[in-house]
Amino acid sequence: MQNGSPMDEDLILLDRFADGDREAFDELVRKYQRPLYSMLYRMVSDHDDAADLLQKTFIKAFTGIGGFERRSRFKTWLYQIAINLAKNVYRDRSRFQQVPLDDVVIRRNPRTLESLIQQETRDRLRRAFVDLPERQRITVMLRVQEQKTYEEIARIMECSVGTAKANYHHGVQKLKAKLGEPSTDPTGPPVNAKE
Amino acid sequence: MTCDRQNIQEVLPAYLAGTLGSDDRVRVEEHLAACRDCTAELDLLRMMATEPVPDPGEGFWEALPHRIYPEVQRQRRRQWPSRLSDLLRGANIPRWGWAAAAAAVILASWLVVRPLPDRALRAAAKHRPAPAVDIIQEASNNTEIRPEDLERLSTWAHQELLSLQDGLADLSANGNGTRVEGALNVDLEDELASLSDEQLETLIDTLDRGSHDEDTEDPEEET
Repeated sequence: MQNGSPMDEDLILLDRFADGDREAFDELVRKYQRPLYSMLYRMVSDHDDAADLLQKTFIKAFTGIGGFERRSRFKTWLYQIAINLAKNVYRDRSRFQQVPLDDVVIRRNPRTLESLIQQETRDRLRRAFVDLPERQRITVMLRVQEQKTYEEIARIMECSVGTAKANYHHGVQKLKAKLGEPSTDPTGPPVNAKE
Repeated sequence: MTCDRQNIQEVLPAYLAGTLGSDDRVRVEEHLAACRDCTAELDLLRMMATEPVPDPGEGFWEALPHRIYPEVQRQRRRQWPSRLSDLLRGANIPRWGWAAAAAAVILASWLVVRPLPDRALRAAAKHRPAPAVDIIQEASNNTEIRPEDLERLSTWAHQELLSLQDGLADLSANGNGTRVEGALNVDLEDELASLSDEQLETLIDTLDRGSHDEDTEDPEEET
């Protein structure tokens, strides 16, 4: 049992849900909806897809609650379900989707040379990230963006801590190598672009 | 130059998140001051960590549990039959347990069946394949029913029902009935609806007598 109370709290809420307590259900959903949405959005880069996957994750978790072995955390189990569902959506994607928020940020700010370079670097990073092997990509995302420990990643990804560290390391090294290459993207914003 | 200090690189996300202990943080900062490769890696991690995620708004978060709950309930209701079978499988019920349950169901059905017409009773008595009143009496006199008794009872009740069906079929064949199919379900049930304990005893006696009569008076009919 890790860290005691959060796990116990979830198990108590799950027992209450199993007994038909609607409030326990609401409490569990509200507890995990934001972090799960954040992770799903980072995986699929689209609000509608992320919201749909979020609902499916909870529905699958609560209808398959009998399959939840209480040796691990409920939170870990939710992440496993969410990642597996998102993988399918991600695999169906044939092309890279840009995050529109960045465009909004850029439009609000003056198009300085620095902001354009930053924008291009972000775009290149996203492309490099998408090109990573699946397990490396998910591991880097969980470690850097979701701030999971290697132990948590190992449980979510059902691998050893050593494998989680190796996936993280190889993923980040590939990203660094890609960003170190000269830009070959013809659609990237030119440095001297005008408003 | 590429840095090979993997022990430093592994903790860079924790350093970025501010969750590193003070000793480790000092160690990382000392390394970063002298390593351009790890500084570049930290910048990359920072860029990833600050990737924006839109907030769908409070309305979305408030509504989510209400949107999900009905679907969860619907799917859970659909799972109940399979859950029951899982439960029964997990319960590891022995064979005699199933036999006892089957016998109980058959016996209960038989007890609520309504009185037979006299002619049907006589005809049924003639075709009764096995004397089994002793099983009934034995079972009803004992508080603890043994598994083997229940199996015998199950077999007997099944044969009993078949013989009643045969009897009704004979009635029909003699020109007295127009409906043979479903007779057990309709006519028989109507007749036996109000069977009391006393009438049940009478029925058992009649069946038993019929069996003895059959044995002594008309042995060829067995064939």
